[in-house]
Amino acid sequence: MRLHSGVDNTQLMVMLQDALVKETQIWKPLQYEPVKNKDVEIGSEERDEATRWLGRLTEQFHMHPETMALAVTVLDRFLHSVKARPKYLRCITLTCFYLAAKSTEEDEIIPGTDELVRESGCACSVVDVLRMERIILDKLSWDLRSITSLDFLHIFHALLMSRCPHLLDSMRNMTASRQLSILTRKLERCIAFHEILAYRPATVALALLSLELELFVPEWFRMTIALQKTIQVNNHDLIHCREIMTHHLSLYPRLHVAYIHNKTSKRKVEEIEVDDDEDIYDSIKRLYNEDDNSSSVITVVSGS
Amino acid sequence: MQKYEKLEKIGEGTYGTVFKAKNRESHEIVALKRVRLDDDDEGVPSSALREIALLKELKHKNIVRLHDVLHSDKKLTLVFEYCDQDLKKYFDSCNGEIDQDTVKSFMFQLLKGLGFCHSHNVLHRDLKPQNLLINKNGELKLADFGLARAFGIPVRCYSAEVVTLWYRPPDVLFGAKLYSTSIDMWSAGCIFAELANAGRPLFPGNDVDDQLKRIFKLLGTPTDETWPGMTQLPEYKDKYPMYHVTTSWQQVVPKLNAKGKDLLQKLLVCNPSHRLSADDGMEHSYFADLNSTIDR
Repeated sequence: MRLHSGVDNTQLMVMLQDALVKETQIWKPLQYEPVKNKDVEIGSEERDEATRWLGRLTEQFHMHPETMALAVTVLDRFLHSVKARPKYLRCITLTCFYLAAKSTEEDEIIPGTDELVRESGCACSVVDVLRMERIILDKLSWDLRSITSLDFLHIFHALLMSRCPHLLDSMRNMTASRQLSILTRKLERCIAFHEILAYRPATVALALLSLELELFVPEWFRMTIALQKTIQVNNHDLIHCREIMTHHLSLYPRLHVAYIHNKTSKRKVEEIEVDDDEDIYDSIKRLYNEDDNSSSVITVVSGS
Repeated sequence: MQKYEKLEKIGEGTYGTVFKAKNRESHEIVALKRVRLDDDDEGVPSSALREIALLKELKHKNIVRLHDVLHSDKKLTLVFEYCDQDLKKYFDSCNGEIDQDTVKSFMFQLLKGLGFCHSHNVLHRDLKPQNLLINKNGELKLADFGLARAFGIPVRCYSAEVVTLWYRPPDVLFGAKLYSTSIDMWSAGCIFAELANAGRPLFPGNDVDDQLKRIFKLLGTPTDETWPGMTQLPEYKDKYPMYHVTTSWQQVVPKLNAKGKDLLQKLLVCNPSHRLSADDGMEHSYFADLNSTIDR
């Protein structure tokens, strides 16, 4: 299968190798601890609150998931390079979001500083954001390059679809683009948790994909091991990462999607409308050349 | 800015002034791109952020090298390798005459730099003679990545407000937001013809309409058969006459040899999915006799 964007299997492998090289060059494990004095220090709880806000900002300003992923990376790098006071955290977070938007979005999508400050409901001023922008860039040596688990998820999923083009054929409710859209939603939730920062972006992406495969393919284990060998992550890390993600994702039952085989009876299924999947779904749909206007209904098995 | 001694102003980029300067220690000559930061309510320009991030990744002899990023309270300075002139100025000094071996060498280097960008998932989106630098060794380098962007695997909508009018492909002129590396290949084709004609632009349109007319007059007006999906583009208009090809390529690029004309025609294709890629372009027989070690 040749994807709409013209990326074939060979190119995907090159992209994967490039991404792995970049990962060894620029990625470092990071750690947050809970803090006693919340007026003086930023701890794990405050950090996770900030990343969840980044998720909401991304949605509010109609940005792509790549922007959230980059904003989280910039925020974590900055918080590990300075001892920032908790009272500045909102302004720091908003500025990381602004920098990520400027880096990844097109100019017509990027809000003006004034609009950003006003619409975000942040108590800081335009001057605060502009000053913070310079501080963050200085601390990070003006280098906002990153490699995120979302980059790896895109590559892994495209590889999977290229090697197993019929993987989803027997599913009544799943297409390649819808699956990637669901995985993206889940990943957005997972990267908001600081525990994930101990694992390589490639490991995080593989752990998530492997959990998803386990939901519907008997060969999920074999597929996971194939990718695991390519990215060279040890069992211990992969298993732990999967466990942490399983725990975090259990907090978002609405993200759980049952895979329904064509023969499964409809009785157990309850359907709910989820509108906010549309944006991501649309662009991903183009990736896999799915022109049909299948509805954005997410199907949830009751009781799961 | 003690590290560099400013020598002279070279020009204005999309966002800032460019100076020739000398490193006081190594005496190396560099180009400094200065961006004022104090008078802008939008903070650091997105174009500067993207140019820094992209050029840190793109290290290739046909892409201008970013040596350093310096900053003070009021300004940001990007330190680039120095090149003597851009292709536009080179044309001005040609007086309408250009050696066809030089044309071939420059075109090959353009495709090589572009192929490197594309294989690293970067679209330049503003290729034109002013943004191609030439040094005294005859090396050509892609510069000004202020409009460039990285592209990922999921196909996203991008801005249609890109590429200087004369070098903008017909799909983007019709408002296409789903494009990929083919956007740069059209510009490369326009530049190829301009090279072959020693600096006479191929499609010097006055506005979007005029631009499309000039293109269709030369290539013939595309139809739904030659370009499926064209009529669905956001700004598509049904008002262009059905031009049929009347001009021969011999009239358009008289000095270019037959193989060169063939390469040019494979780049200047209205339907973006049929445009030649940079990698395939380098394999074209036009370049078969390119033997200089500098060029390859």
